[in-house]
Amino acid sequence: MVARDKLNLLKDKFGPAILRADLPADDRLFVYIEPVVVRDVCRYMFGDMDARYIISIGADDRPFSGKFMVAHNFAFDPEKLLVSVLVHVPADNPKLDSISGVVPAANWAEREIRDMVGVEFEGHCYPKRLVLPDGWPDGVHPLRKDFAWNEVPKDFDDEREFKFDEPPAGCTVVPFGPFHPTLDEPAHFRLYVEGEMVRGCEYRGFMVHRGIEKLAESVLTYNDIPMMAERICGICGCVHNVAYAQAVESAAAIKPPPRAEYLRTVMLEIERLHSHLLWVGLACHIVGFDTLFMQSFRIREPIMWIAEKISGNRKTYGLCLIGGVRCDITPEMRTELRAVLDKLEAEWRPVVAAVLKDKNIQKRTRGIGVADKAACKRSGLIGPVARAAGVDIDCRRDHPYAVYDRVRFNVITDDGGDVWSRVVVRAKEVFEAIEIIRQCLDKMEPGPIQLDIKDELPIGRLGLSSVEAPRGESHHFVITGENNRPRRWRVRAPTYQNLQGVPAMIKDQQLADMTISLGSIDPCFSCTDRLETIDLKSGATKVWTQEELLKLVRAKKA
Amino acid sequence: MDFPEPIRLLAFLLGMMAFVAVNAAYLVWAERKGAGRFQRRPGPTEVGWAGLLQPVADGIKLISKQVIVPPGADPILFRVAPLLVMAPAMMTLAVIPFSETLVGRDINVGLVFVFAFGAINVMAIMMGGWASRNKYAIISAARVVSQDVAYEIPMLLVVITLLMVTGTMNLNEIVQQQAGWFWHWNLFRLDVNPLMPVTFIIFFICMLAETNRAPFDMAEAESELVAGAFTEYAGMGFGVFFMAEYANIVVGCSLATVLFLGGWQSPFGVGSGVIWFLLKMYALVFTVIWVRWTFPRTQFYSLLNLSWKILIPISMVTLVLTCILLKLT
Amino acid sequence: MTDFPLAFDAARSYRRVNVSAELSQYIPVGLLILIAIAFAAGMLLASTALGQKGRRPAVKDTPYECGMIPVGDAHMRFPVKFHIVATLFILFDIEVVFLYPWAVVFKPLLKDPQTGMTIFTSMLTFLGILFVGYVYCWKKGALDWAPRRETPQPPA
Repeated sequence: MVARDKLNLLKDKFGPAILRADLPADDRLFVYIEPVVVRDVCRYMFGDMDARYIISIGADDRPFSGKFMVAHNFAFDPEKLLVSVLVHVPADNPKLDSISGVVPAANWAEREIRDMVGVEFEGHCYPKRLVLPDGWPDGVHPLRKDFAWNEVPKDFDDEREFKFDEPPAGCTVVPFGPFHPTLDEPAHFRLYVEGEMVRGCEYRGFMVHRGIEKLAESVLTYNDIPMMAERICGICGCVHNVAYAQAVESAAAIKPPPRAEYLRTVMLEIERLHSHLLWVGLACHIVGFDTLFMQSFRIREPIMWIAEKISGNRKTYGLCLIGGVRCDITPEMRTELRAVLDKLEAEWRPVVAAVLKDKNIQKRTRGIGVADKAACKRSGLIGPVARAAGVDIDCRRDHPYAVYDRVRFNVITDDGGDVWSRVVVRAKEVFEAIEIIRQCLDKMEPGPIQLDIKDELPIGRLGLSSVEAPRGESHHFVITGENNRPRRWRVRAPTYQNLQGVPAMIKDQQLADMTISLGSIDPCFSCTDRLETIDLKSGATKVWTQEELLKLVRAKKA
Repeated sequence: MDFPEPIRLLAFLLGMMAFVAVNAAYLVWAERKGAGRFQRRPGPTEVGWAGLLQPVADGIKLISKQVIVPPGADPILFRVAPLLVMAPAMMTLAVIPFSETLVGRDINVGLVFVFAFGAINVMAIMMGGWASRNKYAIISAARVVSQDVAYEIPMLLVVITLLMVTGTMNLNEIVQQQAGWFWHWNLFRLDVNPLMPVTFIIFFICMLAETNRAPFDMAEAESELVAGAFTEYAGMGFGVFFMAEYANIVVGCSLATVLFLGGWQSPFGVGSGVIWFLLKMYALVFTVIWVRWTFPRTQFYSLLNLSWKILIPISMVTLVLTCILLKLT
Repeated sequence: MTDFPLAFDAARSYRRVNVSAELSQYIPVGLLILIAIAFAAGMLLASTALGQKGRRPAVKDTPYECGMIPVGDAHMRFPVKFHIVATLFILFDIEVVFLYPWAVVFKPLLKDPQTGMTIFTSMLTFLGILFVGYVYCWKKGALDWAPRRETPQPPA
C-alpha cells in the first residue's frame, strides 16, 4: 500500500493540516490540505520524499465549494504513484503561498494559474504574464466560470505591447522566432547575446492558444473532447487523446476492454515511431545535414500509410472514446503492419549504426545543451531529455496504462545529458517501440473494442493520467462534472516542462548551438499553448487583421 | 582564327558571361538533382523535362521580385556588395586557361591575379552584411570574414609549395609543364614532392571554405542565422549572391584543375583540349556537391580550429619539407 | 598596344621583362572589370525594371528580426576574438606575400652554386621565425576560440 504509506508520512509530519485524503486506487492519492502549509508540504514531498513535480492546476471551484482550487501534482516514479495535493483558496481573497521557491519547476504553472484563474501566488520569483496575449486587460481571467468561452474583454487593447525585460549590460538582444526558418511553430526567444555567447533569454510563447481547455469545459461533451484533445498537437495527438480518455476513465472507474487497451498501445507506439523518426530528421536539418533528414522522412513514410489504413488518417487518428477505441486492426492490417515494422527496422538499423559512428554529428552535439540530473529535477524535465541525463523515468513502466504492464521493453537511458545523448536515446527507442507493437500484435485477443456505457459518469471525481508521449510525460487532470462534460480539464504537455529547462541549457553557449539545444527537447509549442485564441496574421490575397480573423471565426461558430 | 585583339577579348568576355550565367543556373539544377539522388528522391521534375527549366523559372521569379533596399541600410554599400561579389568571380575566370588558346588574358602573374580578385569576395559579403543593418546579417558577416581569412592562409601556403616546383605563376605555363601522361600532373609528381596529394587535399578543403560551401557554410547557416549575410536582400540582390557562389565554385575548381590536375592536358598524353579541362573541372564540382550532402555543418569554432591549428601547421611543414627535398635533389 | 599574345610565349620569362609591355597587358583587364561590374549591375537593374512595384508600408521596411519589432542597434559589439583573427591574418598574409617571389625563383637559384645556399637558408630562417611566432600565438591563447563555459545556473 504505497499510497497509504505516503499518506501516513504526510500525516505524521503535518497532522491536522491534512484535511482529507482519497485513495481511489493504490497508484493514486489525493490529499486536501490547509492553504497555510502548502509550501511546507510541497517542500517536504519534493525535497525529503524526492517526488517529481508534474504540474499545478488551478480551477474555479466557486460554483461548487465557493472557493478556488489549486492542485500541485507530484509523481513517485519508483513507487508507481501519482499524488495530487489540493488546496482550496478563498474566493474573496484568492492568494496562496508560491511553491516556485522550493519547486522551481512550478514557475510557469503558477504564472499560468495567475493569468487564467486569477489566484495570486505570494512570493513567486517571477510573477509576470505568461499565457495571456499582450493586449489582454489585467484582472480578467478567462478560465473562471463566470467568463463565457466566446467572450472578448471589452477593453482588449490591440496597441498594448508586452513589456520585455531589459537585457543585461553589454548584451545585445537577438530575437529567435516567432518567424524563423527552423521553428515550425511560433514562439519567441529573446536571446541576450554577448558577442557570440548567449548569456540568457526571455521566452514569450503561447502565441497559438486555441482555448481548448475552456472549450472543453463549456461546450464539448465527454466524447467530443478526445477528438479535440488530439488536435492539441500535430505530432503526438494520439497521446493526448489517450491520456484524456484514461484520465476520465480513472475518475469514473471505468475499465476499457482488453482489446481496446492493446489497440491504444499499438497506436501510441506507432505515433512514437513516426515522431522519433521525424525528430531525428529535423535535428539533422538543424545541424545542416539534410541528407539524413530526407532519409529519415523516407523511412518514416510507410508508418504514416499504415496509420492511415488503420485509422483513416495519417495523423489525428480519432482513436479513443471513453471506455474504448473507435477503430480495430483487421488480420490483413496486422500482416501489413508487421511487414512495415520489419522494413522499418531493417532500414533504421543501418541509419542508427551510421549516426552513432559519425564523428561530425558527435562533435556538433556533444557537450551541447547540457541538462544534468539536478537540472532535470529542478525544472521537472521529462522524457528523452531526462533519460538522456540518466534519470530513469518512463511512464510506460512507472505508471503503467493500457497494456504496458503486459509487454516487455527496455527503458533506454544515457548519461551524457547533452544533445548527443538525446539523439542516442531517441534513435534506440525506435527499436523498443517496434518490439512493443510486435508483442501487442501477438498477444491481442479478439473481443469488443468499446465498452457500452449507459449511465452518466459520476460528478466531481478526480482523475489523473500520465502517458509517455514521444517527448515525455503527457499529464492530464480531470474533474468530472455536470452536463456530460468535465468541470476542469488540465493538459500538461511534455514541452511545457522541458521548455523551462531551455534557458539553463543555452546559457553561456554559443549562439550557433541555440537551435539544436532547443530542437533537442523536440519542442512542440502548440502542445504547450492550449488556451485562448490570439495572434494570427496571414496574407494569402489579403492581409487579415486580428479582428477580422476573430470576427470570421466567430461568424462561423455562430 | 586571327581576330583583332580587342574584338577577341570582347567576344571572350561575352562568352565568359554566358558561361558564368549558364553554370550558375545549371549548377543549381545539378545540385538539386544531385542532392535528390543522394537522398533517394527525384529532385526537381516539374518544370521542363527532368526539371531542366527549373533554373529559368527560378530566374524569372527572382527577377520579378520587388527590389527592397531597407531604409536603415547603408544605401551605397548595400547596392555595391552584390556587384563586388559577382564581378571578381568573372574576372578570375578571364585568366584561367581553358585550353592552350582559349584564355582571356594570359598574364604572367595569373595565380596572384586569381587570389587577388578572389579575396574581394570576402569583402563584398562583409559589406553586404554590415550594410544591411540586420543582426543576423552582421553576425554572419563577421563569421564569414574570420572563416575566409583563416582558410586563405593555408591555401596560399600550399600554393607556394606548388610554385616552388613549377617556378612560374603563369597558369598557362603551369599547365604546359604537366603535359604527357597523367603522372606528370602536379598532383602525382611525387618525385619532386611526395606531399603533393596532401597539398591538393588542403587546397580543396580551403576552396570549400572560401566558397562558403557546406560543411563550411557559416555564411548562410539558415538554422540559426536565417539567410546569413543575405537576409535583407530580396529578389535579384539575393540572386546575384547566389549566382556568385556557384561562379566561385567554378573558379575554385578550375584553379584546382589547372594547378594540380593538368588543366586541359589529356591524361594519356594525346588529344589534349578544352574537353579535358571541363571534364576535370566538373568532376571536382561534383565532388563539391557530393561533400555538401554528405557532411553535417561544422561548428563555427571547430571550423576556425581546423584551419589555424591543423591546416596551417601542416601546410607550413609541407612547405619546409618541399624546400629541403628540392635542395637535396 | 600592339602586343596581345594569344598563347603562351616561351621567350618571355621573369628575367627579361619589358615594363611597359608588362603594364599594357593590364589595360584590357581594366576593361574587363568594367564589363564584369556592368554584367552584375545589369541583373540588378533588370530586376528593378521588371520586378514588382508593390506597396512599401513601414513594416515591410523594418529589418527582419523574426517578426518582432527590432530592438536596439544591429551594429552590435563583437568579441575581441574577431579582431585577433583579423590581426593574425594580416600578419600571416604579409609573410606569405614575401614567400611568393621567393618560391618562383627558388628552383633556378638553388641550382646556381653562388646563390644556392643563401636562398635556402635565408628563407628557412624566415620560415623558422614565422613558425616561432605562430607557436607563440597558440601558447598565448590567441587561437582558443571557444570561450569557456561557465557552470550552468538555475533558470530565472
